[in-house]
Amino acid sequence: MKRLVFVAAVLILSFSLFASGAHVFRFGAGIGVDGNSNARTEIKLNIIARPFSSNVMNPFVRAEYGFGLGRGDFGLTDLTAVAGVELFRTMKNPLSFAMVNKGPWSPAVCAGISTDFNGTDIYAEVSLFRVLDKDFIYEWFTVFGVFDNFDVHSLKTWGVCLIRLTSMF
Amino acid sequence: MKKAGFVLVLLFCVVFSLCAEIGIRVGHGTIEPDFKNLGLTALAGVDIGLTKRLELNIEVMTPVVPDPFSKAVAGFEIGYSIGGNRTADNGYAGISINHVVSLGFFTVNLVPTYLTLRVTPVTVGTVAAGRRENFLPIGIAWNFRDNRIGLFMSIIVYDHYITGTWRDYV
Repeated sequence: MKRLVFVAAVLILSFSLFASGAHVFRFGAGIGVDGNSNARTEIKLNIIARPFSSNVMNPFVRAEYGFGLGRGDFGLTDLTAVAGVELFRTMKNPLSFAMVNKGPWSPAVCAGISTDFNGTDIYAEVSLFRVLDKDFIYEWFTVFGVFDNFDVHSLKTWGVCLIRLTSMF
Repeated sequence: MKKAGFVLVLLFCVVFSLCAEIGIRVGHGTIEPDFKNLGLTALAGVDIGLTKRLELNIEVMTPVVPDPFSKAVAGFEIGYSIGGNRTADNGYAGISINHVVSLGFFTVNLVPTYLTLRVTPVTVGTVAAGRRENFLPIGIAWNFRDNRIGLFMSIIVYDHYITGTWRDYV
């Protein structure tokens, strides 16, 4: 399994290197608002590195941390670190009606770890409503799940990130 | 019931014919502590321009995760742009960075419950541009049924304008 993941990562990175265009705006930082099935609302800050600019399978890594409110408590969220890929970029953007500047539609998937520093869980996310701007990433209604282990049936919590805004620089 | 429906439609027609521009409003919105333990809540509505500075926002707030639509807070706010005109004549943009003070009335599951006052410290964008982002609108909500004060807040709310934008002038 580890070998397969390693080979897949190398393949994606190699492919991205060949397919990549202009290397601008590699890093970014942003803020998101999400809620999970524990009835918590969370505000998370994120940092992202997107070293390549490929139109297909463009890889990125992201870390997220913040604070949340719910069930009578207020506190820090779990730290999330993920690696993912932007599946593609297309100017045939079904979300362009909501944008002032026309930007490409770029759905992404990612997976990684989520930790409260006592234990570690598996985190997975699908971001379908995701639009790129020259130096910005807009994401709406991103769905995520936190799993106890690699088993799909071990879903611990799920949630929706209402909005995530990331500024690239 | 028919009479009420007719009056409602008539009212909408009058308001829409008088208004300068219409936008769709989407974002985060909550009234604490009434939404406490209900998870993530979203806000949706309509933004109607009444004058160059006044706007009418008709809004619904409801939980999204984990129990979608388990509660509905609906009502309206009248907002006043204190930084300057939000629109100008002949397609010229208004003030692109503004501040809004709003007074509102809201129902909980259609039961009149709140009078609200809130301030949007920063709005970025204009009607002419087609979009406005309202950052951290925050204020108080007086629950006059239980005589309690709550916190009425959003992280961000988008206004996406359908009429009154640059598209009307090209």
